[in-house]
Amino acid sequence: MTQRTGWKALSGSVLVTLLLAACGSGSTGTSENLAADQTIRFPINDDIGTFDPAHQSALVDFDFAQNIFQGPVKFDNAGKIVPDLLTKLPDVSSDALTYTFHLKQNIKFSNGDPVKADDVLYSWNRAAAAGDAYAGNFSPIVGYDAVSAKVPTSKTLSGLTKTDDYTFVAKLSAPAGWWLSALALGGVSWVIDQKVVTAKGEDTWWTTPDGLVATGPFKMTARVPKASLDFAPVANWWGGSTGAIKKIHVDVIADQASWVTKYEQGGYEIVGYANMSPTAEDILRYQAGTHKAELTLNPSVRSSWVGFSFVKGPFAGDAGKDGRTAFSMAIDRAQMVDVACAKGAQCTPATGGLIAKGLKGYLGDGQDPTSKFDAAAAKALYTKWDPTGSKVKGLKYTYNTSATNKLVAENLQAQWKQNLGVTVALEALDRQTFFSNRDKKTYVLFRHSWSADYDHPQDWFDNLFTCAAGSSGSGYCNKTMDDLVTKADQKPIDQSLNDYISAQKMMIADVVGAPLFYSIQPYLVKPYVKGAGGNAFFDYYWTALKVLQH
Amino acid sequence: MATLPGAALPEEYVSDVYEMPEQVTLWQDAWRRVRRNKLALAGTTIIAILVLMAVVSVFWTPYPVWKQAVGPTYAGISAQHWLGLDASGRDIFSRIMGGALISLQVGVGTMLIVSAIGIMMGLLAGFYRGALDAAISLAINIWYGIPDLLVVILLVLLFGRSLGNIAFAIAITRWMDMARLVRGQTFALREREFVEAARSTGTRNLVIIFRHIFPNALGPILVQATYAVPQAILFEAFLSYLGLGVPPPTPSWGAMAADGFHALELAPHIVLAPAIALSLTLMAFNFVGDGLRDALDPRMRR
Repeated sequence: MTQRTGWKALSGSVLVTLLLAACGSGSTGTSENLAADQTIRFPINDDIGTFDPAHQSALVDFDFAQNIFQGPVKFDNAGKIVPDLLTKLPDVSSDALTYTFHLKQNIKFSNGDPVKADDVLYSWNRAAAAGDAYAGNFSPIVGYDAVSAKVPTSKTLSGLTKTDDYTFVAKLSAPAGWWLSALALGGVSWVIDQKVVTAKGEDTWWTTPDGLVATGPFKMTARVPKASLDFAPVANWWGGSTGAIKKIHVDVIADQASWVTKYEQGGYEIVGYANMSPTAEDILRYQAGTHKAELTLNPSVRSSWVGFSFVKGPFAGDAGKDGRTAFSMAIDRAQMVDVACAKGAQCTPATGGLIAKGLKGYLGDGQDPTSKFDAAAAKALYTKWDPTGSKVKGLKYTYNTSATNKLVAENLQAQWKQNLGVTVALEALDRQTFFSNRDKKTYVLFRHSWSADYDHPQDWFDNLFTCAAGSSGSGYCNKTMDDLVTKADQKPIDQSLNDYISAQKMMIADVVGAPLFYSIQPYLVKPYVKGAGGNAFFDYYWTALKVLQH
Repeated sequence: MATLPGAALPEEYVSDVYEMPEQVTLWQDAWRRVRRNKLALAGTTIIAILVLMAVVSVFWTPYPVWKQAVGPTYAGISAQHWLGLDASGRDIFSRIMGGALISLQVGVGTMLIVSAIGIMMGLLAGFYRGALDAAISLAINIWYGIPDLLVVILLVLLFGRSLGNIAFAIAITRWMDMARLVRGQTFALREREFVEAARSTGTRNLVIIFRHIFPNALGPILVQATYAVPQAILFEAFLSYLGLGVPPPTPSWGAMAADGFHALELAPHIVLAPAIALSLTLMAFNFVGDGLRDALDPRMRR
């Protein structure tokens, strides 16, 4: 530290001390000194995709919806599965094939309708039949195949039955050690009000405050599409206290650079909720500045990679394997992390497979050979695969717009040009269009990422890499690996982990994607806001937030 | 001095010291006066440097304009990197050189399209007058009423963000000034004696327009064309700032400024370099435009 900055720091400290003294007990954090205005405001860069639990797949949407909806069980802030709408965790039979759920008897939707077992059955059957990205969470239940078939032979899961108004049973076709975790994630397992869905319309019920009815502690009070969202606690919530916060206001602002400016002007209390991030420049500035304490860098269980289409274009099938390998080996992950992740503050290089570091199934640092940077080998392999350059003519990399994604895309473009001599065009799309098209396997070369829903490799394989995976994007299908994963899914995790690791090595051999980095979630939080932040999987619930006098 | 026809001049009037004024053409006279205009000369020098940088950048830049991580990200000015590095570790001086080429291509390209459309429209409207003039004038007035930014954004989104498309999109929102100017010039010139003389000898209209009227309107046209260049450069920079300019990794001063703006507090050189380059270029073209206007306008002659 130079003498000048030392004096600045000292004088800053003195000033802060004096200000704190002047404020009296204004920042001690007890319940007596809550601010009069209990409003939390934060920005997101694009509108939410959907609040319909049957169709949700984006983490952004989940981070909101977990405060509005509830299911039988949930993860608490420490990541432990706890009962939510249940009186206790479900009873599981000794053969692990029958789950009996006991609902609390005082649950009410925000419109006052009581919640009974029929509501759970309706919600789950509807989500299973919708067949969207997370419908597979019901795949263990008997009758799922009949509901999810291209031409369904049933509209309901035959293994899901009601015993009485507050008890229901799920019979599984095979043991599934991961299933309770999948239920705790929410989304498809959240309970909705059939009466409201019918009245407001199957596709649009969730879009308005009076249609978005659920059992959670918060409800939507206003929504201007592409502009803003407002939420407030449910009055007389059936579950008891909704916490201190009286209003959540969310701005939809594409320009991420303006977020921190507004935060510094007092316009936001938080930047970083709903899987958003301040820009790299802002993170670097805060790391070096006097408000460093407002910045938290939270390792998250998220991987990012380059996806290759296995159904069309030059990378498809066995013929495209050398191309996939060359494009992966041509990426210097260390450089990418430096350039696109605020000198490594926002992510670390992905060298241990697609399953993120810290999770069960992570292969270990440096264990993925395709993520090893070797420009010469990549160039030689590329030249052998595409000697005339005709295969990559007009090639484009597609991504959804955000500051980080843009930096990543431009860095990939530069590295492929430098190390392979290939010019790749960039195509930036809005989030809704991008995700919708990616699920339809439209893109040849694209951004892909996944935030673990829970700590179980099944979450990655069944959603991303099996033949029927709803969020694959690539259309990758390896029957041998599928069989291995199916068997592993049926065993407890301690007995199945090696199978999942073997399956991941098969994927690496097939070069399913080019792993890029594991993310770190930054949060900027005003010092007078308590209870904000998140664990490795999701933001803390809004019920934990409070604003102190300041 | 007037003399009677046939009368001999007195000897004292027949002087061998009589000096004929130096015969200079309009362009020689203009160049002489431009040389006396220091700002115009400075502008010409800056434009010459800009052109040199742009031409050299086609063959060589200190570092490839697209290459990232050539040094530490956000690094300041140094002997290796004269204008420092940007957020992706790209050499800013190299990108300024590459950006000069883009700016000149857009500026000159737009100016040529503007001139082609505007001159043609103006000559036809001014020469033929009547219904054709009314139609072209109406088109000019309607075009003035359409928001140029909206038109350019729509065209770029519809046809893509290539350099040619951007130049064309800017040009078709900018041709009206040129058309109006040429129309006015043509109106005045078509009544002049030399046009009457040409007409009386049976010269065809198109020959009159392009051989007699157009060359005499060239001065104001040149000035107007000079002003069109910085307007187009600024518009392209603005489009790039909005993310609608030439796609990456092609360097554009506007996109560089947009990237640098995010890091204004952290590394101000990233935004300052393209901003200064853009300002100097705009000033240079405007100085030269002013100089040409003064030089080519007979009323400015002392």
